[in-house]
Amino acid sequence: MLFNSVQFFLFLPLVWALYFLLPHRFRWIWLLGSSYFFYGYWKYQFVFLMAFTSLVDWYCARQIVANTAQTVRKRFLWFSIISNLSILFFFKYFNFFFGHSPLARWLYNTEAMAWAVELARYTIPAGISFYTFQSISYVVDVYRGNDTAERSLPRFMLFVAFFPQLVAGPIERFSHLQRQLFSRNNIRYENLSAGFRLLLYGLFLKVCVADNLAASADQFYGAHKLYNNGSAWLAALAFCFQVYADFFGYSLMAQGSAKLFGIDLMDNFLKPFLARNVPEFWQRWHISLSTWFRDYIYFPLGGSRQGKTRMLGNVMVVFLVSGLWHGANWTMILFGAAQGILYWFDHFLFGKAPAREDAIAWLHRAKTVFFFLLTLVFFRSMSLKQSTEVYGMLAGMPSGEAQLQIPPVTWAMLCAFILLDLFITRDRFDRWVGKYPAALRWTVYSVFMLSIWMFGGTVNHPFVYFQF
Amino acid sequence: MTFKRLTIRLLFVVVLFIAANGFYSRFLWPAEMEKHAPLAARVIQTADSADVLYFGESSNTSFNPFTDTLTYSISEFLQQYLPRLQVRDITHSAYHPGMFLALMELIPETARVKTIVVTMNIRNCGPAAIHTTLEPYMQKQKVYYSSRMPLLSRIYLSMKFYDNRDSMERERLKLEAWRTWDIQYPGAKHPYPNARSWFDAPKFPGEDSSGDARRKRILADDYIKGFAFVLREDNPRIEQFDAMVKLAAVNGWKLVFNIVPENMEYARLLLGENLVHTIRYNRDFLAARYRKMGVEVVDNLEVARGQEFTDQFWTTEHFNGRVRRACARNLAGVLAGKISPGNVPVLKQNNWPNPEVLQPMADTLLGLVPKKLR
Repeated sequence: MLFNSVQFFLFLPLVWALYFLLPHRFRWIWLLGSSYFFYGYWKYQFVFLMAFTSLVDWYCARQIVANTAQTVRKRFLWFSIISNLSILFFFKYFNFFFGHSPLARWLYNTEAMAWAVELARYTIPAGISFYTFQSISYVVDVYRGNDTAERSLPRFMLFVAFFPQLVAGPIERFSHLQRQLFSRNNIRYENLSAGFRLLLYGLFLKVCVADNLAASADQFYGAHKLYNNGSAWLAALAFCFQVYADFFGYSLMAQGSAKLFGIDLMDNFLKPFLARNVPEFWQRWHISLSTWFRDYIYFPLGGSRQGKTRMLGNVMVVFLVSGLWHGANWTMILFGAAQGILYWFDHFLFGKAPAREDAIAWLHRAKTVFFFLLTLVFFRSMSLKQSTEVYGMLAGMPSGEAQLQIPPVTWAMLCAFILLDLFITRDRFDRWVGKYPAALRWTVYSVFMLSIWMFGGTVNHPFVYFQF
Repeated sequence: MTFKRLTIRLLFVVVLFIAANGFYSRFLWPAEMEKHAPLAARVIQTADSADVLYFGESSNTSFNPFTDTLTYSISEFLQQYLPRLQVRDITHSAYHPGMFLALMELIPETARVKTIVVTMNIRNCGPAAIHTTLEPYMQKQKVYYSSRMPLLSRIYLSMKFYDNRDSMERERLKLEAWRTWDIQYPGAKHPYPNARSWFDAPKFPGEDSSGDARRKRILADDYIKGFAFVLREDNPRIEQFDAMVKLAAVNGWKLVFNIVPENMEYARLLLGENLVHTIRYNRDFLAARYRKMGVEVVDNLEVARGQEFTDQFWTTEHFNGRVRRACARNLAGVLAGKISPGNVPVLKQNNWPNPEVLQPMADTLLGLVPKKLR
């Protein structure tokens, strides 16, 4: 089920109402059932996959705690990691590595496996990268002694499957989420109010900003050779803000949905386009993933403690893995590599970001956004060939004659988003708007609602990160 | 206290919605309809000025721009055969029964139209057509073909409340159908259990290399993709045709299904009698089912020869003027004789170009020229 669907807006109030009608001890069971329904509504087969992942990780964590011998503990840790990554590999990377190989052909010709190959080739279980990473982080934290192992399997399953953050994060840590899931929450107007604000703003970003921009970006990337050089720049701009509004909007809706139940999810975005360099950008963009990579890949590789060369190598490894995480194709790997190179570029050329708020700082911001926008061409392109051609167009190589037209409504939505993002620099939307009088607040809500009702994009563009 | 506050806010949203609906219906909806669903307004207007309404897809109007000298559509030919009746058409390429049904539901009860002819395209009932990537676009249009509050329809579009499964998922469903749909039918022993096993079977010597055998193999596979399925009652298209029959009964319309021609000649040449029999079985299934329900079914399945199809290298229902005329002639025979007694069709025309001349597409002609000279 998607957040920007009618079904979700029927599902959410129902789950919420019954959650608070039930006695406290049954609430988490209701939430678990609802979360599995939420996931299975899209494709029920994958529910079993998620349950299997939860079972393996729960068992491994229990065994890690139960055993004192380091080799045994390590064996269970690696069993969990390999099991998680194998599932991820099969569904997400099998096609990339073995697409038309004899192995794939053999599997496809095996009657019992044909359906699985079809699934692996054409369907990625929604959110598999997110819940797999969340589950891995739990086992690693238990191994490191940072978390205690959950005794109850169903309770652990709820941590993995909690529906607001299931399909596209934020990738929560066990210590942060588990306590909240089982604490005694009552209906509080503040939570409802904050939740609705986040849901409304998130939906506005997704439906009005991202979906409208997506139509323009898709138009260009669907037949890029027809368009002129200016159109390539417009499409790059459109996609840059599309992906931001899309994922930021999703994250706000996730936070809003959880907030209705009195649960706080972590912030996933912190004004990334105000970052003054690439390292700062990745501390503000998809924060839950960046911190995951930091804690479970960068630090174990040695981080910055083993010299500058090693540190820069580690950074590149993290970005390459991040690229591969984003998608099983060469364009995504190049996207990751480009981020790594930009990181080096900023590190060597500019050093630390200027602390002062002056014109230079804004130039740094513009540079960071500009380079990020450029690298997103890899992210959006369907193939390496297309990305090469689009880069050629951006560089002024001969191209087609058609001019990409971005409709006035799309421009209006984009401008509204940029202004709001510039204006609300220090707060989250729900807190920011809460400071204003009711009349002003409701004017803002009304504008959002009317925009969603009348000007939302009409073509289906699933959340960009939904496929990861 | 909390619930009182919530109720006040909910009431505000309801009032805002009603006011917004008024504004939207008056100022924005007409332009959106004109842009995204012009057929909706056309159906309402046309149904009021026609005696016979023809719902067609590309088979109605597709002409070969190079060779088609008779550029009348089936519905236009029909009008010429039935000069005393007003025949109008609602045509949109790639539309299927689900879309026709949505459009038929827009026809006002008081409309003049009394007879509705619906294109019945057998290939449209197969998995390749059911799971086509054009479907989300059509489903989006279908949201506009509705009589609900305009703002509610617009919200449905904003929230993508239609069958919006993406192209990858549709591809997977197609593969699954080719693998799992049983192609055996009563009274025949088909050598393959499903379409996929038929794909896998070798068909022509030397088909693995390039050349004519390879091209024939690709074309043969295209015919399997299009036609290797057996119609059963749970087919979604059957459900849509059934719904049309019910709707026609409620509104007192006379319903006619026009089974459009398929390239049976090439099907036989490429895959032998197995495929031809499968297509005929499906035709018989449709004809028997709907005749039993009181619908006139006009069988034009085999009125075209292989070279009369515009597209020679893939399966379509695009054919030349002679075939369109033949379809219209058969329809007119039924309409005049059974549906509208007293309207004698003008079946003999003598002022047209000789329709017996084949009009193959340029590529086919080119195929006759030695390679060196091309």
